[in-house]
Amino acid sequence: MRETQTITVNMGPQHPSTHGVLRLVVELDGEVVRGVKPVIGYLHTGMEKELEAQRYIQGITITDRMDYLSPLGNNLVYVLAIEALCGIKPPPRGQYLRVVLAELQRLASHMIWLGTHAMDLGAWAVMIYCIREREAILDLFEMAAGVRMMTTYIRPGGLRNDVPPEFFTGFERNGKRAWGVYEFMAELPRRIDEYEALLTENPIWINRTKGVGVISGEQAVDWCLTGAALRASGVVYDVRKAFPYSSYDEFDFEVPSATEGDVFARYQVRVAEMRQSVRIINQALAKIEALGPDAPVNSDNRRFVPPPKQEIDWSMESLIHHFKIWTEGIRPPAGEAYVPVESPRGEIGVYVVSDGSAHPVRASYRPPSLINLQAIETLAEGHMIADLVACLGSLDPILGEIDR
Amino acid sequence: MGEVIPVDHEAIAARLTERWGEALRMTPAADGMVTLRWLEPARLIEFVQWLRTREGLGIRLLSDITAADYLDREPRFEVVYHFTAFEPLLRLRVCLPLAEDEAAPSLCGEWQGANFSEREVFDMFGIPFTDHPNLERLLLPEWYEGYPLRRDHPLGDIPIEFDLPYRKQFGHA
Repeated sequence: MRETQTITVNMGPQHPSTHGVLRLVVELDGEVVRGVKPVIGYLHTGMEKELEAQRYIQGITITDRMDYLSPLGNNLVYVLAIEALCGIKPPPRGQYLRVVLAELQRLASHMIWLGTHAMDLGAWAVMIYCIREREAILDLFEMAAGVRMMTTYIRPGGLRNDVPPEFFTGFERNGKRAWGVYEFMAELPRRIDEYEALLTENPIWINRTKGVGVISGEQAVDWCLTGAALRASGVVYDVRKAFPYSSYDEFDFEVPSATEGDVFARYQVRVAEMRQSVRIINQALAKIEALGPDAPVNSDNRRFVPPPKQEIDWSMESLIHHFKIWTEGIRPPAGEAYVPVESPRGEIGVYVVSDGSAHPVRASYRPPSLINLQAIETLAEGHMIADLVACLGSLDPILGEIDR
Repeated sequence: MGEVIPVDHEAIAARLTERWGEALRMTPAADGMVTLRWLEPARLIEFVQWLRTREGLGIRLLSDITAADYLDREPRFEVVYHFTAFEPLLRLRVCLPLAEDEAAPSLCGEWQGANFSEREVFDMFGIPFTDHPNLERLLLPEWYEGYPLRRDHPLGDIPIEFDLPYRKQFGHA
């Protein structure tokens, strides 16, 4: 009998199912995966170095471009770290709006994840449904920030500006209706039911995902997994609950989890998370309504937060602050801060060191995608090569964030 | 998940200094996290193993490994570890000051997930990790010279082109 030999095959970096430019060096025994080695760095553009070169507020534009499916989440975590250094906090309306935006971003990101993950496994229709709702979310971002993706909208001390009334009510133009956030939230649970109707009880989907890519809770902690990948293995750890930021402690929501630790469990956890996001947004909207439309969005600490544009017309001090902040940048006191946030992919954290100047000494991201990606080795080993795609998709890696 | 209990910094600091004495120095941090400087690199693994026990702080998760370069300070580098304990919920920052020629011990034996983070620190700062299973460049090509996140590395240079030499790393031709 002849001995079998393993062969080494290159998957990617231009493979459509690698969600960007990820290269996997796969060791195969026939069609069975014996080893996977991720090779990354194709999108590396030195963003952390660039953050050191830019002033704090300028740096926010760079964070948009890391995890391109969750720019507001990246803005938020960087800004929270700056705020921790400065010791400032936005007023309640600013906090609740941040929660609304962060959860909308989570929904948008999970929709792209669900669409592409299902497409990888052959369920093409789901993508069309998911994109349809994501467009509505991006429309909302456009109303608020003026851009769909590279928002740079969350700023130290609050937001760049308050959201316009249309953000809540929606508007009509040329016979087309753009949803306000209330309309969208009323409609979304039904749309999530539609995704589930396509997948959850679909026998092909179940065959492709159940029992595939199993990782136990102990292994998940050993691989430092966070986010849905960790919670699907029975370890219930969500930064929003464990270390609440941006007033998340005021909301009533559950942290979905599962114990199977397979691809299907991760799918279930993420879909359940989408429903929880709807719940959080509805509560936040009620709180915003209770505060009234005139409640301030930004902190009035003029040392770190630029004054409203109108104020410059009549206040000399405001003009001075405006000039100082936009020419010299803000100067947080010397110190270090690490702030974690629950991004759609897991715990994203920023470690910022300030020496009291206008530029950070070090601004380092903890990229959840990068750290979760390591576990692909454990997930895919012993499975067929087609299941490797399922395992990879279930980790939801974003290459912009992995490489930075 | 347990309720959020405010961290009793003084009790934790007292426990840590009682057990480890001179090996660590508690330092205040802007974000209110329990922060310490670990001064004996050789005993870091021992310390982390203790942190993971129930008598220690019950640390479960290694959240992050990163580093910072303070060019004009002595020692120059600091490797920064963030740990998370679930019960009770606690975050701990351990900073490991290192001189330019010193190596940090690898935590891959404790958490496999430390692998990429340590490779990234090596890639960006040139800080070696002893006993790391696969200490190679992570994001940059292997032939790249210099360590870009060091503060004396210039910003802006000729663009990097990813070339073929990396192939031999994986046994191709």
